[in-house]
Amino acid sequence: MNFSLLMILLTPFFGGLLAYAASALHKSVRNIFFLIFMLIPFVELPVYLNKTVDNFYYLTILGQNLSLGINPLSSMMLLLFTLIFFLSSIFMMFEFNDRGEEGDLAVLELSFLEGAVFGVLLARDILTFFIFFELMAVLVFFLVGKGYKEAHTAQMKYITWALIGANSMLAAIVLLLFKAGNIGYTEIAGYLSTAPTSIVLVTFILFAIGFLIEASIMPFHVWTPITYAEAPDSVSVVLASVVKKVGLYLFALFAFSLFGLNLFSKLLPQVLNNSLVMYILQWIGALTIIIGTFIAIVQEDAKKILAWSSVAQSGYILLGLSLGTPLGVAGGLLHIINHSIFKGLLFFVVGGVIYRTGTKNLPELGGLIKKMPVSFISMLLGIIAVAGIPPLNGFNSKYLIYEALIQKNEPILLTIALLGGTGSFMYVYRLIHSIFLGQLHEEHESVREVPLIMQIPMIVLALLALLFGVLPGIPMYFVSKVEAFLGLDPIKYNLTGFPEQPGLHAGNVPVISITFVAGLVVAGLLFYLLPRARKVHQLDNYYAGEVLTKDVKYNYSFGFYSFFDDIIAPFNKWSVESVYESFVGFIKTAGDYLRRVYTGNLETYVSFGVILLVIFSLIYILGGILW
Amino acid sequence: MVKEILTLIFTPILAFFVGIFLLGFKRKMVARIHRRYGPPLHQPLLDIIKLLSKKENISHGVMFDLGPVMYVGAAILTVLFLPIPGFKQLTPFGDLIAFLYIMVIGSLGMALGAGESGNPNASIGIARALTLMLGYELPLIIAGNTLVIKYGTTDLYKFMTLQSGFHWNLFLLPLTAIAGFIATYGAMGEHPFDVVVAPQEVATGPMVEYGGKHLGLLMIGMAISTYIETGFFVILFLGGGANILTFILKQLGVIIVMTLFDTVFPRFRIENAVRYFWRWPTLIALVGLLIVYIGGK
Amino acid sequence: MVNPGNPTLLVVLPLFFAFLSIIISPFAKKVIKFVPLVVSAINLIVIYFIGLKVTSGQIVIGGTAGLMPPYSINLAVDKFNFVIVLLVNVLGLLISFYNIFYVKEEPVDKFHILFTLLIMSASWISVTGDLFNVFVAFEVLSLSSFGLVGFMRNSDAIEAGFKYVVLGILAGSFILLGVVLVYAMTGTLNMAHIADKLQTISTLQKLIPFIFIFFGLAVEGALFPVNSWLPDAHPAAPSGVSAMLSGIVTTTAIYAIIRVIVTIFNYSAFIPYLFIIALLTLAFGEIAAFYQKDLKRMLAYSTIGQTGLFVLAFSVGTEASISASLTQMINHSVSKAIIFLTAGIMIEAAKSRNIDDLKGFGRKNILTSIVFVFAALSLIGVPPFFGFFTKFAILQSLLDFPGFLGYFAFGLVLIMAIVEGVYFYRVFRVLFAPIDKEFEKVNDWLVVAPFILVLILVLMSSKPMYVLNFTSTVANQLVQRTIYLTSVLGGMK
Repeated sequence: MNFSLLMILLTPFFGGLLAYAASALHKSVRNIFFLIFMLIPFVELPVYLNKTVDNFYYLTILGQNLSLGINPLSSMMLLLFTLIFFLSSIFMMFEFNDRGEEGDLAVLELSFLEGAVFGVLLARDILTFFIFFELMAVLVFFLVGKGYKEAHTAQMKYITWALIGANSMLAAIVLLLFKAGNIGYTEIAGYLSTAPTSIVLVTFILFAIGFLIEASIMPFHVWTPITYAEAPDSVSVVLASVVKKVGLYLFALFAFSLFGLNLFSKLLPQVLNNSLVMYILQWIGALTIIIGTFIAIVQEDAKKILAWSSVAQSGYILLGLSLGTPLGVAGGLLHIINHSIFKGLLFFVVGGVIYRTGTKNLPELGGLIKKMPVSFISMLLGIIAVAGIPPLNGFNSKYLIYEALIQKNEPILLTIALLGGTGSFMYVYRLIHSIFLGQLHEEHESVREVPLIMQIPMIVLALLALLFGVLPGIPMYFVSKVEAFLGLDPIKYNLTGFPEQPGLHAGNVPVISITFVAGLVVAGLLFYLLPRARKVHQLDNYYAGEVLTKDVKYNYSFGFYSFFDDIIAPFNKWSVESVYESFVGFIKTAGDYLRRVYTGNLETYVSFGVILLVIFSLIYILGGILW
Repeated sequence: MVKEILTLIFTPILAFFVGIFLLGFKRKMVARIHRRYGPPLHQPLLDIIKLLSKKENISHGVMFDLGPVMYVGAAILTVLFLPIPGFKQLTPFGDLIAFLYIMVIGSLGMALGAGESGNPNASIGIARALTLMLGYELPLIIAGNTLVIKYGTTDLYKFMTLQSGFHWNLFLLPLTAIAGFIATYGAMGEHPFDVVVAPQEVATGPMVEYGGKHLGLLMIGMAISTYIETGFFVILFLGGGANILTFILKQLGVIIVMTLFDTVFPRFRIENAVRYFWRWPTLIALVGLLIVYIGGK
Repeated sequence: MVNPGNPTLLVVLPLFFAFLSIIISPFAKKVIKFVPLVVSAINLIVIYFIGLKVTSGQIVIGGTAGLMPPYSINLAVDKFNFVIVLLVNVLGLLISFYNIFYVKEEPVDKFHILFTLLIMSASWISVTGDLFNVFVAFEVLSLSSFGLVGFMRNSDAIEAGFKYVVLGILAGSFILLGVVLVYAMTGTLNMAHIADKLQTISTLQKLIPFIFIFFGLAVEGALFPVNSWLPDAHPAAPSGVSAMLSGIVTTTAIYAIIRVIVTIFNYSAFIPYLFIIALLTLAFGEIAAFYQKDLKRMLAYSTIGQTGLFVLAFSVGTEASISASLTQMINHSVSKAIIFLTAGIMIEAAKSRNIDDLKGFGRKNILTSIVFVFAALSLIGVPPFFGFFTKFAILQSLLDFPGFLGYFAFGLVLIMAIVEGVYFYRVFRVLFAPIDKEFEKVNDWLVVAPFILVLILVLMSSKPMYVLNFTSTVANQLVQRTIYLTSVLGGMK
């Protein structure tokens, strides 16, 4: 059956409305419709996987034809996002199970959010993508509001930034339409190739602001930590794995397809073999990595760690993309896929923990490994992936990015990126230690593993991370298609890794994995052939002669890296957030002064009027005499 | 081909024994500096055999058991990615960057196992270990990058072959070598950076609850790790070796110089350790990098 | 029989009904409630017939006293008038429906009579072709709204009403002065005739009467710096009246200003000053709105800001910008009316005008809140709502303004859009926050009127091109003022 692009676009909207209507009947009916419509895009999409469609007109507004289209980049992301949305909808059913009407609205909003995301990905002109992009912001605003205690602050922060980004992009769109006369991507690209430098630069910066805000790159990231942390868990998954990627997708599309690297090198000065704007973006990416990582290390809230980690990983993606070389772009694109998978996985696990224990505050958790083993293993795979350790998928994309940096001869950026990788070990370990290892708190004695159906998202993503890690050829299949689409020479790859090629040393993850397994076997044999160990109770622990009792909390959790905090304390004072706070304070005072013009005092108004009257009468009379 | 596979199997065993030798030599040397006789050279081996033959062992759970297993397994994995004179081992499948990440797998497994023990000392020790890692990785990375720029490759075997003769990086890039040496100090947990273990503070940190066969396995892993870290330094800066004997001799040289400093210093606190790493070694490494960068251009 | 498409009916019939109601009010109090509703309905029928002629390009003239202009007072409806008077009466219809259930304070019947007069005078200003008529209708408008603003008779309302009275009368006097000066200069009061005569008079001489008339109308039209009565009056008035004030009264006054500038005086030299005034209005309005904790006060400042926005668009001076401005006027009137009506429901339920006291309202009253959200999103200009297309059109037209000022205005509009968005989203957030307290039950019929309006809004959003194309024809006709002149004066020559 042939599905038109418009059908693909409208499916989630329709599904959402249907599910919302069905909620009037019964919750389970609503859930069934919800899930079915989340699955339908899987059926609709494969038709387009190998196609590139450019102009599917669907509406004419303001004299312009709006069109949809699909290309390798969008189809890759569409597949990925459909999966993520489907998995989070499973999670959402559990999360909002006892929240009545809120759950109905959440189902509606999540479906519409999927539709809006599809709209942005399928757009082929600058007006369409903007319409759906703004729609996304509205929906995220409402979804976030259903979260935790501080969700209302998060909402306002988010929407302020979203509005700044949206209006910045709107400025660029109106400007481009004014100059180019057309809104289609191909027409705009054609205009830009001959446009004056000022226009190119201004519009690119305006667009970049919008995209990078969505992608939570510094210095536009201030909304991210609180929003990811306070949103409901299923929504956090979507935020980190989908919404952020939309910003990066748009960035990649615009930078390579609409503007084009050639344009930048033609118009802008070159710095170290990169055009200026790309070089600046590389540095912004690198700084995002390192600062995001360092701040993640000292967090006490599980979801905040993940949020800051997302910020840092965005930096990796931006760094890879703005390198502009086939290696770098491949690394960036691959990291988009990998990050969505492993970050979604981690948010799911943390969400499951919160579902069972009711808290996301790390000092209050601990020792859950015995109670939630499946979650533990999933999280273990997730953190190995975040840290970029083989054989999980994080290694492949980071590897490509590092090698790309080497190829481009940028040692300082490479150092920063590698250091960020090392830093990620720290917060990643903190996360798993404070939740699963250590002492089990008394109140969590009765905690069980999450329900079986709720385990599906975790397990699916964990297996996917492992699969993509050991066999990077599978995601690379899509990535190389996208590279070709964006006009770059795709890098060579095979199912098991990367063969030797200019700039890239061979990497073969299955070899690493098999060797590791062999080593484990050897060590394990040695271990298990020796006399068995006797299992002891957790309280039977060395504590310098003291006897530990159950009510004593001896878990080392709060201030896990307090010494690290001391080290970076001097730098903490220069937080980006404080810059914004002081700026906002300034605006508030200015606004306050302006507001006082409306004194509310009648005498002032009337006297003003009378003075006006007198002045004009004088002018009239004198004018009559003079002229 | 068969030769390659045989070497692969043989290498961990070689690494183990060389590690034992190096560790024993170190203890002997420390003793001699302290003006005593010291234990025999093969004392570490005796220790391991004793530990492994203990009849009673305790465990805190599956992850606890898996900790040392992963540590040793990862050590075996890592050592196979380190070339030895004449043999590439598995380097065609992973370069310097991959190696940096592979090195960490063992520590991660160990950290998880120690965390499972439920002892706060272990957790503190691991937190310190990871923070220390962040500290020494900075100069190490910069040093590594300098080498990559100079040689235009990231293959470890090539590093070895390109320094043949006496074109050691120690002589060609002295600043970088010094920075790398100090970083290796931190990696090996020698004084003054042994805050991780810190017997008097956190009761040997991560290993507090480990005994018996667990501790035995850990020591096996530690021996192999010693080989790996010294071998890494030798390959990067001391020109590898014409044959395996010179290689081991150079490793011994590294140990000797290290121990000379080791016995003299007390322990840095963790904040001071990281701050120190981020100050002098980093500066030295950056200067080295600048020299290569500008010179190379 | 009477020509159903005669614009005089729009004035005469409501006036008749109003006086009739006064006479029968002691006897049939209950019936009075429905009078405004009936009046607007009848008006709409008349407008329909007028519309048939106007949309085909004609200008409908209504003569009085059996004579043709310029010897008599006449009414003239071109496309611009048509749009405005249609807006007035559609909103009037639905708001009067709302008022039937909303107004509970005594004396209810007087409220509805005043409301009828409000509708009548607004329609009158929109269709008249005589300058002095404008003044008279303006006075009636002011007087009826004075009474309506102060209707609640609490301290807020009385203070607001008093300020409004003083400034309104002052404004009326200014207009009168201006009209008198114009009469002295030209010897006629007919708009088309004045326009004809004024072409021969120097710009400087035209300046003073123009300023008087402009500032007088600007008081009602919420322009800086004479809009200070607005933030007090709109909140204090009952919500149905606030909706009317923001939606109808300000729009009619701006219509009058536009008519004065373009058709009568043809004063293109004034345009840059109008630009600056509009910029200031926009900025002050939105920034002041940002600080408000009182919902209706915030909405009042928002009206000021929005007025600044569409006057800004108008003052760019191109045909496209006039069209954009007109579309935005429509968007604002409809959306703001919806918002005020739903705000009225919310305030009734929460018994407070403070935004924070509305916490959680949305969770129990989903329909009302969704209506509010849709209207607000359209006002801010979020796609895919109608307001987005109007905002887009305005932004496009701003780029036509020469020089630095155009880019500055462009940037300012976008920044103010951000500010506007933030304070409306703040209300959304409060609406859907977890519930704190119990809300009172409100009459379910109240939501019908805003709901129908929202349906209209959604309809417009789905087919924005219909409206946009129509407004560009309106702008086209407006700019070609000679058509107006010849149609009206055709009777004389």
